Amino acid sequence: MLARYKWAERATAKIRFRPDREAVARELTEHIQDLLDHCGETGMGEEAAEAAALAAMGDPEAIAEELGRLHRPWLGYLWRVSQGLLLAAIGVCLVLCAIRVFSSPRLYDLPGWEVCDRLTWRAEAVIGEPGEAEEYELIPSGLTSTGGYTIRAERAVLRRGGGPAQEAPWWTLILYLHIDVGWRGEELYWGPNVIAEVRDSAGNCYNNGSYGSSRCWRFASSSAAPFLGQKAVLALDGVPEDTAWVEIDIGYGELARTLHITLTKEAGT
Amino acid sequence: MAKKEPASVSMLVLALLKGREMYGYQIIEELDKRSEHVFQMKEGTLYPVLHGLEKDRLVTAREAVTEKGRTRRYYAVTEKGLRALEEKEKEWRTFSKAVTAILAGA
Repeated sequence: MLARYKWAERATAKIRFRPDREAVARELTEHIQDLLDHCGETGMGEEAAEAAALAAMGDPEAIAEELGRLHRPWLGYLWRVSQGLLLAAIGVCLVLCAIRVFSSPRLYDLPGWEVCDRLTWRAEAVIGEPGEAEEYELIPSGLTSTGGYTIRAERAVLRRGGGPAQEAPWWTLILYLHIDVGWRGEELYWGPNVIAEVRDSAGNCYNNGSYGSSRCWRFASSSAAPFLGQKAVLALDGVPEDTAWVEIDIGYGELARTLHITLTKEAGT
Repeated sequence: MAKKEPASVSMLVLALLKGREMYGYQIIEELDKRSEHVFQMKEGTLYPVLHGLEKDRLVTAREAVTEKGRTRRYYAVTEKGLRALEEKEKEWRTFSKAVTAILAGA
């Protein structure tokens, strides 16, 4: 019985890529088994049947030469490398998903958004209770890049309700920003003076809300994740209802940029 | 036992697989049966032919496990294989016609 395996080993000796060698050896031993089954049907003894089968298979060295020419190892190694790369890509995706699940930026709950765990108190201070008064969506467009970050407006909501100073009609514009932080995932630090000035199309200027003035901006941002980015919420209190655009001066020195956000009303609002 | 040129064996194998997919031992048996024992070859030499055809994409192969737990590698002819067979058949008919003409005139 061992003779058939030795024959197959000799016949595949020139196939250098082991998975190919083993697969071809299996195929040849299956063929030899078929021959043995046929010889068995004729009443031949086991040893004689095996000898006859191996003789029928031919010269293993000659076959090895032919098979060695056909089964080049570089194709097999290339296949292995591509399998490894695929596994690595799947692993990276799983890690990124895990980052997304356990530490991703999340925002206060308005339709389509989730509660920000670590920044809830700040987000609530920025946005207030949802649905407390009339509100509608605007369509924002605008982006800018500075210091390796690209900041764009993702969503805009105009809400009528309470604020630091009561003026009728009192509107708060809530801008949802997305910051592209690239593969490193270093968050943009919105520290003091990062937002220098905010203006609207009516010529109004907005101050930092901590000063308690009637027209002010309030801000909250989340942590960042590689590739997924960072989120920020900017609320402008006291905007005119028909504000066509807002401009936000971001950064200072060489990094100073203006984010111009055009606001378009949705049809029917 | 006649010695066959590899090109002829390829043509015969493709012709057999044109009918249905087969594994190696089946191909040898069918070759022997349909040629009425004229075409008999060392059975192990079939595999370089089959693997060469597979490498050239003239046939495809798939593995299947039988009810008895045996693993069989079935070969099937491809579209490219059918076109190649047609070419080889044409060449064979031309060759065969020429030989017949010479023998008839001899």
